[in-house]
Amino acid sequence: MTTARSLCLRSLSKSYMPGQNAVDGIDLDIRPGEFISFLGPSGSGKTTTLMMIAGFERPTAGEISIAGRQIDAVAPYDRNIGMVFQNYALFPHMSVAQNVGFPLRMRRTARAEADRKIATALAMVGLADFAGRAPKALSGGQQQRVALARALVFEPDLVLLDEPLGALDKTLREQMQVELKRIHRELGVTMIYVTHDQTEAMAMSDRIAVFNHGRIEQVGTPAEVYFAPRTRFVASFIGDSNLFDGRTGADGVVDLGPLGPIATGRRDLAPGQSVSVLVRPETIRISAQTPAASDERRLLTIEETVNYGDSFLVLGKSGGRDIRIRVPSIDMPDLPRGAQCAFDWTASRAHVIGA
Amino acid sequence: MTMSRSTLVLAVLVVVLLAGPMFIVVPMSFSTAPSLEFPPPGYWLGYYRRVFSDPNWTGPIINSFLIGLGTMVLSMLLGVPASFALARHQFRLRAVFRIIVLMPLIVPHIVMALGYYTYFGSLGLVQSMPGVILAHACLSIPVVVLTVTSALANFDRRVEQAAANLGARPLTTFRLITFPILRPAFLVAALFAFIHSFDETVIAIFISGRDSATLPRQMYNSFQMEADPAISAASSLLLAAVLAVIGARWAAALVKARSKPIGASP
Amino acid sequence: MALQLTDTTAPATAAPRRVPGGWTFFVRAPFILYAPAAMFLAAFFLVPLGLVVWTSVSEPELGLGNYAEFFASTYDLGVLARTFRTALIVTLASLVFAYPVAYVAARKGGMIGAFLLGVVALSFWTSFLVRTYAWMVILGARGPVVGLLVALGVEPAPQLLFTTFAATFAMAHMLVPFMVLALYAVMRRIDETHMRAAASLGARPWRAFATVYLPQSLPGVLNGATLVFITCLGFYVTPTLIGSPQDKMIAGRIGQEMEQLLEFGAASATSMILLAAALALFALYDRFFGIERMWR
Repeated sequence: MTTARSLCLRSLSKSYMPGQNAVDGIDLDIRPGEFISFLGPSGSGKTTTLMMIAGFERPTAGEISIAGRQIDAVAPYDRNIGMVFQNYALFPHMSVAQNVGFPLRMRRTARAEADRKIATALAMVGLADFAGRAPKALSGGQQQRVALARALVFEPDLVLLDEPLGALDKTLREQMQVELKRIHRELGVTMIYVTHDQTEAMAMSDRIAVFNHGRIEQVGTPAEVYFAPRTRFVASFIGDSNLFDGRTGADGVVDLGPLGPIATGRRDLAPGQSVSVLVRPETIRISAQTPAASDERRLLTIEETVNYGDSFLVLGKSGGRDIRIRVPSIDMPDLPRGAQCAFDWTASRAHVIGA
Repeated sequence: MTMSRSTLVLAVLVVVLLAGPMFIVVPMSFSTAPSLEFPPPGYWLGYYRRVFSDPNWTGPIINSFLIGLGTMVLSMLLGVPASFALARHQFRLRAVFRIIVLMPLIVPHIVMALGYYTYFGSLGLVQSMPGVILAHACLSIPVVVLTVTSALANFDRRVEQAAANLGARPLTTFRLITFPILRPAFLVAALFAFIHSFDETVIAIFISGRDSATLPRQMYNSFQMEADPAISAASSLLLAAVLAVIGARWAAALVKARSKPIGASP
Repeated sequence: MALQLTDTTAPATAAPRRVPGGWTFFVRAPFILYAPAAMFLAAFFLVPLGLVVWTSVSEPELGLGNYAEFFASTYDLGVLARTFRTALIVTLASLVFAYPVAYVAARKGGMIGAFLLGVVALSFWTSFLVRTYAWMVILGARGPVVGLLVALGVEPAPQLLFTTFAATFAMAHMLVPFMVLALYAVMRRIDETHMRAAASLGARPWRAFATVYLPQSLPGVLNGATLVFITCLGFYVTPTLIGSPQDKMIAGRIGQEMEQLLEFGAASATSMILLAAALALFALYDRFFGIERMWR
């Protein structure tokens, strides 16, 4: 078992051009043994932050500490951090075993012990028989596992993964996600995982840090960022969403204009504020009958339905607003385009943003 | 791929016309005639014997090899670091330096020959091997730089980052990672530098001489003076050398294509 | 409105190759990397070159006399004009021969392409001297061409060697490989699917070639033409050995002024003019394409 270490980022910034910050004042405490994802679109600063932790970029401001020890001035080769690169970066002129053994060689590990560790690492990633192969003779998935073994063999304080599954096809990616989680569980080492794929982040992480324009908009468990996003960006980046603008009234009731009021249960909200209300598409129900005359706010005109096999995405309009609804296939009524139907949502599962 | 037959025939014809003329030196090298007579009246190996025994020929051949090696070493020692500087670093004089490095490829050799003649004259380097090596090194440095910078441009630096991340200090990274991966490019650059010097004619004509005469200079003088048919023997040997190298590369490529990579299962 | 679909497409192209900011891998200052080469070239290349410049305005006396003499001399101007004319002919001739070869090698590829390139490489790597000698034999008074012409009844036996024709023909032959390689380098990057698209849109083969392929091959044509033209301008060996002694090209003129006439001032001035022409063409090329493209 490796000793899990914590990582602390304080006011971390990086700018390449004056006035433009690629990373803008990041504060983050990563717990020992945690699997945390840096999630965000391209250019959001997640990879730059990772590079600063690894030591390949110098921060313009701020500090990085591992287990309380500041490492800003430490060169990358002395940081004892494992890293899996996006393109694996395996040494083409060395065999698999030599690749995996490289960090041990740098640490002057004795031959016998090094061989033992290499064998263990390769076994852990399921490549025990591949020691003598050349990297270019391996498939993408196998190369990725070698890169992982190489990053873990020297029992680092921390492991950084820079979109490692990006080049793999869907089935393989899902397999590797499970593998990575298993290895994380077995080793208990702190892992930082950079990705732009939110389903991946949701599936694998203990916590997710959502990056946007060089800042972290929210850090939380998958459930937290999914059900209680703090900003519109987080709400729309993770999962499918409906974001309705409205005005707060009394007792936590928000007036959504043509869509009517929604009782969010947020009595702490002062009235008269502009907010956005997040309603996840799967919390909206539709029924084939048209609503009663008094309830015309719940009338939906269907524009498009998309069949995903296990569920349907229904795109419609109500009161001039676009609405997205997810319906399990077994519950899906037979409704053609242009048809009208009733819809309703569970107000208690709606979430208010921006108050 | 649709391709009209006439284009194909034309291309093959052109190739025959391109390579054909060169091969005329081969039968000429076995000719018994003392002058340029084709078809040769008779055949013997006399001219080959002369090339390998007459000091007027063996001297220049050895000189060319030595000068070529000297040029190769010097231009690699100077050109490889310069390539790294150009490919990986930004520095104030970069644009100027780039031009200076490429200039020897642009300036006609006759102009440089004139320059070296007067310059080395005052330095006492005319008709000496070091002089020729210095001049040829200038011409080979840009060749080395172009080859190596091209290889560096295609070099994915992330393997160096990986090495650093895994604990290798900069010099170790160069020794264990960068150099081995770039070795083929270095070999090619060295070979180009050697050949560039070995074949160089114009400057050699004017500044090599007596003890330092190169093979091209010897051949050129033979043309001018008595059109010594030993030239054809020397030429055939050079042609054979080129054929050997190209043939070897072709064979190597064929062998590589035959052996497919093992194991492509995910 | 916040109706974005989440992005699940594969990540964009490879990571940028930028040097990691602030942390270079070997040396902080690249000075020690480029200084040796810079100093060496300064001492052994720039100085001799500068010496030629200086000599052109200082021998036999200070001033632009050598240049004035050059431009006043019909002989010298004739040499210059002939050189340019020959270079132009050589460039066009080599282009005409090289284009089909490069075309077949690039489009057909496979064994035939490799074979063609192999033969081109063979010619390319054989020194100019050997190839000039070959032409000396072929065009010589006792060579096969004259022999054939005489057999066909041409009287008197024509002299082909030591003429401008011989030099031009040989140079064109020798520079074809340069042209082929320059063209090929560009042609192999022309996307084959463009031609198929043109065909599917109704273009006949020649039309497709003229409107889709040819324009895309033009950078290669310019590359090769520039390279061949400039090389031909400065060509010494071939014109001197098998060209006409009376109708010299400029490099031969410089050699003559140097060796026979011992007029170093004049030789230097002539050199400068040749250099100016070459530099001007390179500068023009660099402005549009960047000079390293020529050797890619």
